[in-house]
Amino acid sequence: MSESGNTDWNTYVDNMSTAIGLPIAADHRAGVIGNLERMEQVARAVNSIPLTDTDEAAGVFLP
Amino acid sequence: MSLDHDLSGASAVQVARSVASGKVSAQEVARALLDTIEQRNPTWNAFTEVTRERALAEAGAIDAARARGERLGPLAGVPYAVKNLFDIAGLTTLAGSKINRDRAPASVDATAIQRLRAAGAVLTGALNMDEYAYGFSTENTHYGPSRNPHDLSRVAGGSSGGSAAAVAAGLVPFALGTDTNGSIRVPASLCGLFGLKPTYGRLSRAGGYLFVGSLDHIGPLARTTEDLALAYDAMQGPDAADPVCAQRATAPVQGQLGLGIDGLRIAVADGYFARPMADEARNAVAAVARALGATARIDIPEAGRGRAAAFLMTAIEGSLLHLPDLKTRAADFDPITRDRMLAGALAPAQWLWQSHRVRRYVRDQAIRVFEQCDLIIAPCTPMSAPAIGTEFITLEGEKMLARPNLGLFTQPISFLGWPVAAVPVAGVSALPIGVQLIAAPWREDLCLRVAAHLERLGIAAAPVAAAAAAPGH
Repeated sequence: MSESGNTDWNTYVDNMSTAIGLPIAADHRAGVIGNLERMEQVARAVNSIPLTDTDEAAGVFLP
Repeated sequence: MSLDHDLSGASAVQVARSVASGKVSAQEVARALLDTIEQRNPTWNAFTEVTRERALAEAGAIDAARARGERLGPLAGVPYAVKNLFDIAGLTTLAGSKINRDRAPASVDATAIQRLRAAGAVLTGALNMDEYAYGFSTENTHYGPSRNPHDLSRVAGGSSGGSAAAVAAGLVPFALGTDTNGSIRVPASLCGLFGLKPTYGRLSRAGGYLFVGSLDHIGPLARTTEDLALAYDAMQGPDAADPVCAQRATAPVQGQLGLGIDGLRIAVADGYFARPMADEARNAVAAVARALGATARIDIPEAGRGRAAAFLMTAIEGSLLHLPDLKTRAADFDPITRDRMLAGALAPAQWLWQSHRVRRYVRDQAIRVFEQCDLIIAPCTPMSAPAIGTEFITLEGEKMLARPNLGLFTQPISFLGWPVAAVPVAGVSALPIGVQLIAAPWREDLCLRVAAHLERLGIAAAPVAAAAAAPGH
């Protein structure tokens, strides 16, 4: 997936569904790709945060 | 209280006092409300299962304890119900799904139910929800939509929509829900109720069917702040069965509801929380700010990108939990969320990992707001309840998907794990609308103290829905 939004989600879905053994029926393909495109947009916002090497994920999150 | 009265308007506090004093027996209360549920539930579709035998047995045990002169718990004889993702011993935990029907019944109650039972509460059944809690509207394809007691053509909100509908319709004084991104606060707002999403880790989720473990909370919905506090206090305490549940002493809030707002610094959320919303949502925030004398405005840093990270965590974690069923039974998932689930399961791991790292970053940025204030007022839902089946909404000219965006203002706060009370604001629109009262971690007392103050002023109120309370209904 690219930062520019030119991701080939068709190919990605084929490859990833094979890799994890999750078949995507033809009826759902367009919906799945639409959702991945939306997630990609959202991920761009999340990836735009400048994290440092010390910004760890919390195993169990404590507020 | 006598059974000449319709019990549907009685609060938990009223019921518990009447049972403790012997004015009415717990079994009489249980029978009356179970009959009401049987007659009226088809209108709202709040319950998916009614536990009549169990309720009568629990009520009978309360009456027997009273007859022996034993001290009764604070919720003695109070009927309640739970979202159907909580384990109820002997019942299959549906979590709103068709798939889970094939599972074995739960062998023990969820921790929250065990604690409420120990306090004397009487479980009357399990409540409708969005499938696997993935939604804000409870338009469940398998079990039908829960209907808003204030207007049957509208959604009750979700994913704890059955919980909200049951309380707003007067079928029970309080109910349990869960909140991952707003699933207590959204239905509380749309059905005109008080709701509490405590601090992440405050209440045990053990025995609850997880949606997104990193974000899941449990909490009560009720028609009064006293009832909310009563139920909340009864469920507090560490629980080794939930790794997220904090090892903290209980911090009861019931005794603090009357403390008022003197000395509290209260601000209105700005920035992200001033984005497009319907007039009723804006008016609700303004009414509460005016009543509390809150003029300061405050920006919660990174709320927007926090919501983005919560969205990804939800989509990916919430889907991967169901990967085995997605592989073999995709057709049995609710069509409303099936494609989202499939996409989440295929999504790149980097998006999830980055979201978890961003969560800590956002937490450290956002917590600084509490150097300037003690409590924050924010909109709860961007509008009052939409009609069932609504796909898109338009807010100040901006068109957006309806279902995910009902959680526009709640999602950034659960991401932070901060405690929030959803408060129904009286008199700003024909349909209910709520606001969020947000405090620093572990300060549920402040949320409920201010909510109780607004209730005393008459700014906040959660009566049984007029249509539900109508004679002859």
